[in-house]
Amino acid sequence: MKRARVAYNGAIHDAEVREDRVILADGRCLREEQVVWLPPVEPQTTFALAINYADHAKELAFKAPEKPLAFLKGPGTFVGHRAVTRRPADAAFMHYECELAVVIGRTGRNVSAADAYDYVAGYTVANDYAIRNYLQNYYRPNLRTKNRDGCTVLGPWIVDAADVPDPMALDIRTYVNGEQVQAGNTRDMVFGVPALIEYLSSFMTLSPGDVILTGTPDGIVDVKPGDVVETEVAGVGRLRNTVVDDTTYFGAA
Amino acid sequence: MRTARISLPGQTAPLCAAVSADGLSLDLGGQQIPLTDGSFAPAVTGWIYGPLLNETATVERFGPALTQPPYAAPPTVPVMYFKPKNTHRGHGSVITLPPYADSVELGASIGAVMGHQVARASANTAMSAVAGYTIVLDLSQPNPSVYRPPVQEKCFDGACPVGPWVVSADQIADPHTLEIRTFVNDVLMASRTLSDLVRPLPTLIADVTDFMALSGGDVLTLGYPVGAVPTARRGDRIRIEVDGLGALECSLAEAE
Repeated sequence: MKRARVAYNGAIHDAEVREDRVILADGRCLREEQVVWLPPVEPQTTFALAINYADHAKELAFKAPEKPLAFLKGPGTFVGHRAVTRRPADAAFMHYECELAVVIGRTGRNVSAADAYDYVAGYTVANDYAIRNYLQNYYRPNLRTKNRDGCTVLGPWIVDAADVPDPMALDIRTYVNGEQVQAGNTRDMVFGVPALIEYLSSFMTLSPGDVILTGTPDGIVDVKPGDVVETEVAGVGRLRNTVVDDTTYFGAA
Repeated sequence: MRTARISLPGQTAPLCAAVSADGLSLDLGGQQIPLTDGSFAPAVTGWIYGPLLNETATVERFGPALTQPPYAAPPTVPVMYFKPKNTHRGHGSVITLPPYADSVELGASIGAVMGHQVARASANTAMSAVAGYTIVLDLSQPNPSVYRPPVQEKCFDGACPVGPWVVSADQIADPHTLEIRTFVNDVLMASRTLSDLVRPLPTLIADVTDFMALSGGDVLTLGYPVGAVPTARRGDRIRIEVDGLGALECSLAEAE
């Protein structure tokens, strides 16, 4: 099942997505463009992984890390499907990152990799934008690069874990204005989903609603205002976002 | 006013209410509930963020290293980190260190608690978002490198006692003048004020909210001199006193 959170008619709803229809709990049947798509989970503690694909590590001229290189994200950075994301005027290189996002469903501590999938509620798609010229070498990647308001797109929905038989064999693709710019497969993760859950839960209690963004493969290009960026994980979903400039984002004073 | 969050047996969530003038009970108006050991929940419910390298003395101590690899250049924007929910603990907690940490740095600081959402604030108006202050004890596994995000170092369960309560902003004329004292096993190990900050609170709020909004209930700490604070080990009792804010206590569990 595909589970979404949407705003419609002045209220927030849990919804189910069937084919191209959004079905509210009371049966109201809506088109995709009739609702405001919220991140499908209100993210609690959210981890993201840097250089977790061997090819991306090479592209960025880093050696793949010996243990997962995790960082955190706060709640303000998330927006849902079909939202816009601001490219500030002084951004020199802003790129998308298409990622498989793992939503935790059970409280877990010291979970072994062998048991890790028991703690997964489902999967969604993330577009973890970065503005590379904002990187500085302290707690890198720093929050100004990776925890910007509205710069982590999540959705469109959560697919139940039971409906994703092998999360470690999913194609990853990104399209900018319809043209494919990124291609990869989750099998190329340096640390796969079970290893990440084992690592994080070795010192932190994982809770329902925690989210792990598992990193991105290579194929990052600069995006400009007006670009429509679609990040897709096969079998999970295709997440759309539009890049806008400051004037469009903030509106006229 | 001081506001505490107290866990009571059988309640689904801690009760958040004013503390009586004598500091011994929750004052619900017609009813007083005694504050007992072990009943303090974390004093805040929001997210806790802290700044790195926010003291002039710390920047000077790092010195030439800031212009050498891997850092290359001093930071020009606030370097922030998270203390996520699994780290939050109330006054009086017993904290179990992870197996990989033989000791922890005692990063005692003052946390500013936001009263409402604030984004792209100017330093001139930023303080209007601050509803109160509390004591934050940022525990971390020591690491001389500040190159990578401090997840294992700063995000283990229990790594952020906060409390005992939130003191409303109208009671605190200037948080930068308050003395912060760190005691380990009743011995005074360090004291300092926040008089040499690279970014005092109004500037910190402005520079942080330039790129990330803070919400009501979120806490922005004023940081601590990383690498130059007392440490504690398993079995130690820790007490952080701050003028006007009270005393936050915790202890580190003995090895199992």
